[in-house]
Amino acid sequence: MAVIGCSANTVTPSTPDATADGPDGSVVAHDDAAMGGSPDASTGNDDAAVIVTGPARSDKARVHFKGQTILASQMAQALGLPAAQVYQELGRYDAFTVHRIALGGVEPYTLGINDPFPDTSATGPLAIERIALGGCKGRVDADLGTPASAVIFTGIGPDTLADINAAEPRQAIDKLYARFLSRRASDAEARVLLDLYADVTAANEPRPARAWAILSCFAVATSLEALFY
Amino acid sequence: MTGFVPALRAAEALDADMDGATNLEEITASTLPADARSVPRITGPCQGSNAYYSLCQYDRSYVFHKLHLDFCGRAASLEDREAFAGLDESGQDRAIDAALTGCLRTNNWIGKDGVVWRMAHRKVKPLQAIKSGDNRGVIPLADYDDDYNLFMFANTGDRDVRDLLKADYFVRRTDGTPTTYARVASLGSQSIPQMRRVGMLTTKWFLVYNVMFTALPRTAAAQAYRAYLNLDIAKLEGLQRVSGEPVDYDARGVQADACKECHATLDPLTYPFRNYDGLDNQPFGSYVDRRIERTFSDIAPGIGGIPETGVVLGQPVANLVEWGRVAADSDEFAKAVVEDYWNLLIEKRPQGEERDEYVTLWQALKTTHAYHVEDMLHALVRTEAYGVP
Amino acid sequence: MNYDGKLNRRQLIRALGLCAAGGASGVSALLHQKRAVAQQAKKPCFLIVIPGAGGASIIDSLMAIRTTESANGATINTFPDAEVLDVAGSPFRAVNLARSAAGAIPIPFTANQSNFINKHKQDLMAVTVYGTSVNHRVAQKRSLTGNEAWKGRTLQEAVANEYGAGLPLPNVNMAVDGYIERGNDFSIPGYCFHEPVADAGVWPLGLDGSKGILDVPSRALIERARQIRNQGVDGNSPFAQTFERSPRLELWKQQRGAQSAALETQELIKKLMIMPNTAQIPLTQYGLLESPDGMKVREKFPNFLTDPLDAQAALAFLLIKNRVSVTVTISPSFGVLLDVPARQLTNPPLAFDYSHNAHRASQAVMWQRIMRVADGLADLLKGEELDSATGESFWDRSLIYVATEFGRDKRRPANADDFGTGHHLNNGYMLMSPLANGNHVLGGVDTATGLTYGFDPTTGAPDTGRHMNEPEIYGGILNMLQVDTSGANLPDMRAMRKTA
Repeated sequence: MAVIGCSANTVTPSTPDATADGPDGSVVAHDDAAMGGSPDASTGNDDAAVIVTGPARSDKARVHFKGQTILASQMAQALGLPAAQVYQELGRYDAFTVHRIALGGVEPYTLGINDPFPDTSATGPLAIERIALGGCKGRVDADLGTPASAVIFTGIGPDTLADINAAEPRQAIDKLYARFLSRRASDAEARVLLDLYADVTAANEPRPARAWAILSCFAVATSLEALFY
Repeated sequence: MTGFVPALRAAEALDADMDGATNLEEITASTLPADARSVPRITGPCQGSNAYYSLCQYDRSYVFHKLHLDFCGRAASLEDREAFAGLDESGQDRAIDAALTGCLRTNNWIGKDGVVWRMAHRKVKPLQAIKSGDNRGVIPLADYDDDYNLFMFANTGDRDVRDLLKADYFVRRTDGTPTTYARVASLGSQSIPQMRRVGMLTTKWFLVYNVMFTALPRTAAAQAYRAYLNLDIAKLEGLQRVSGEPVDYDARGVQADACKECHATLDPLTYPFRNYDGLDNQPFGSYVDRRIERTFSDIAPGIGGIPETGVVLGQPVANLVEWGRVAADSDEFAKAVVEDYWNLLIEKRPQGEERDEYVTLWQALKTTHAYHVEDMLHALVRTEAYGVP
Repeated sequence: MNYDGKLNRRQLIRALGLCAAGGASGVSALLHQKRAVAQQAKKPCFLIVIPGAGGASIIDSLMAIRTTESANGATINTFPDAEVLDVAGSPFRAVNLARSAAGAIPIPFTANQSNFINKHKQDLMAVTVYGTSVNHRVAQKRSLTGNEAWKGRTLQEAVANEYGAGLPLPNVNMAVDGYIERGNDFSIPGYCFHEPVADAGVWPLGLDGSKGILDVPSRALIERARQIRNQGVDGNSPFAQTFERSPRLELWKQQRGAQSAALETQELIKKLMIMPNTAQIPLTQYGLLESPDGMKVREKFPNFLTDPLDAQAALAFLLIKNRVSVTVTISPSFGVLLDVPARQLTNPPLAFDYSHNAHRASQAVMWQRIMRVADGLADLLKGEELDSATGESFWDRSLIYVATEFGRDKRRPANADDFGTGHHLNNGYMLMSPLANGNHVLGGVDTATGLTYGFDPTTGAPDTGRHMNEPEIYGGILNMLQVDTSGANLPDMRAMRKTA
């Protein structure tokens, strides 16, 4: 049973979209089950109330989307790639420029968009996924192609991993967390990504080690913690 | 407005949207009194713990992480965060101050198209097509880079942010690592004589874009009011009717019932702009003595009667220079400056109990912080609004 | 099945189950089925907003005045008689003219409004209006909200609220300045707010998370990685857990979940790709294809590479045709589009405004541009069947609204042909739709002053004693689009709807 954390004796506003408290005081959490994301909010009663465990929730729950400028810097820094080369659409157009507005950027000089739009855009998730996928691929290929100067994926061959539970895959995960999230991965978090390797091999991916590296990087780079603060 | 206040009082105890919270409770909490889905949440004493965040108090680690993203544009490294975690409270406080000071020197904060620069977009309203100078447009009329540079100068370092409305100088920017801004007495791209300058309100770009060809440039006055005092007359904000107004010197029909409520404020707000030219005289954006009489005498019979005196925030002013001074020294200006940063760093507007911290900040900006934005920011990151997860 | 068109959680799980079992078209089929039911529930109407950015003057087009018919023809904005054409069988005027220079820009231009007006007169309607702000940005937004007529929601948001449930992107906005500002009514569902688009040509690249990226793991594995991320990475993240109640995080989860799935499943990265495969846009090299309708829209809007408005119009048609959106906003910008070698002025500075210069040129060039795009959109929509049972085309249920912030000064220096004008609240709008009271001018113009006057909202009879306000026009547009406005307290503008 989750305990609701909150600020002392306050009247704090709720917005119509805020997650509701369940009748017994538990937090009604949306279950991110096999569908890859929460359903539309209006599905309402179709979602059963779920008692969640884990850390107490913030009542203020105030977060910011990092937006185009910070994400461009972050992606470049985390992947160790020049900003304009993290990912280029069609091999030639800086993706952060192509998807500038979708990622909360502005363009005041010709479009008169002086401020970011208040909410994330519907196409924002796909845009950042593309950039992450392309950028992670670039990092992985560079590391696997030139192992001596590998930045994240050290000691990981392009083909098959001898042992997913060896030190190198765990070190790669630690580096992903350090570079994207500025913290260490817990054992549970690392296990989640290590277990992904089984899915990769089961799918008969021709170069499973490479695929695993790209997908692990993608998963961390597009996580909520990487995109918001 | 004599009936308005009693009407509000009568409505305080009512519940317009029948959501269980009175109108007064909703307004106090900054929720929407006419929307049943927007309801203040009454929370009890803080309870519950979290191993990762201090949910019930100012969380220094959370602030350290957040301020790096807000001000430096990138997260602190794992190493820096772990080093921070190893400090005691006073050490962490010093580290927060040091990190903030460092971030305020980065180009992410002070550079071209950095955070502060982007705050200026809705005030400067650039349009590349008519820009002069670097990256000039097809029809170069004025260079808005001068405006951004002044905005940056006033909002950074140990400068007085009131110079946004008081500066009789200009600013030159040198791009680099970091970018630097230097005060200069004049610029070849500017036309207003020093004694007539009013900071952001008399740059060539501001006058060209907002005065244009207009005799009585109400748009310019409204934009100044909106951009630097956060009072939008179009939304009925900041209305302080001046007796006997509007006179309608330029025969625009502003005495009509549908117009006069706003124009009784807007017109006297505008009069001090009467001699500041946009595009009617060469050079553009210059001060033209008796401009109305020389250029617009055929518009309306009484147009020459437009005074240079005006009224801003209920206070008579002799000219635009005084307009700028009165506005800059006002509470509204201080509130607007702090609110801009609050919007940027915390939330759209101060809500509920956080308003007390907001009030403290803008009052301190006028006093303790001597109108230094960076000092105010050091205080802002110490607020619960910023620092409680 | 939900009549609001949305997939609920169980339906989406079932659809994904179909996919997992090899029914690759499962989700798509489910979505199509949902759409069909939504259509049976209420057939949609479509709103296209084309802002006359800068201030499009109605007396420089549909309600133009000849010099000799005005008592003050020399000092009012009137035209040489020969340049104002009557349109046979119609109350409209058309301005046809040519000039050797556009103010300070020494480039000739021509305008021919009569072809467009003659062709579309049965669907055209001019309505007079008196606005409330001479500030560009403020007035732009008011032309869309009716000056907060319905709790601040824009016309587009109202239409999306009525017809857009379950669609991938009900409201798409490619405009600028105040025309791309969100409305102020937050009681409507989030999907009603617009999706902004800055570049119509490349924007579709962002409609799939992996297509067009070479040499990456399979889509199935990418989907698996998404699941791992959502459940495992986020599920174990102290940040994600602690801030779980954040509406922003909740919105993002919705957007990256069902909403993104819909965009990908419907292959919009292809269907909305207006660009052809070229060396500069090497689609096929990256495993991408242009839209099946790509050639069609490029033929109608051939300047798609050089004129953003053409690209926007092409995309607007595809968004509607493919049932992605029920409302799309496209707009000229305030930037200058000028090809000196080709001696082509496409967009003067500040569009219809031209910095208060060269009124004739700015109005003529811009009205020509707006009408050309409207003509193209109407033609394309007429060619697409919406309802096989009734034979209705998409156009039959579409409305083009040329919004604008205000009119222009009615006065000019005596007999001047090149003169500047300021902003003026008195004006009118052009509307184009089979749903409109077509081939009508509602209201009139005083030829002595150039000022328009209003009309009886019920009968449409001209009324020199009144002006129409923004809420009235706003309500009339929603009436035409059959949007349920009960409870909104909007006036009934019967005169604006097609007569029975």
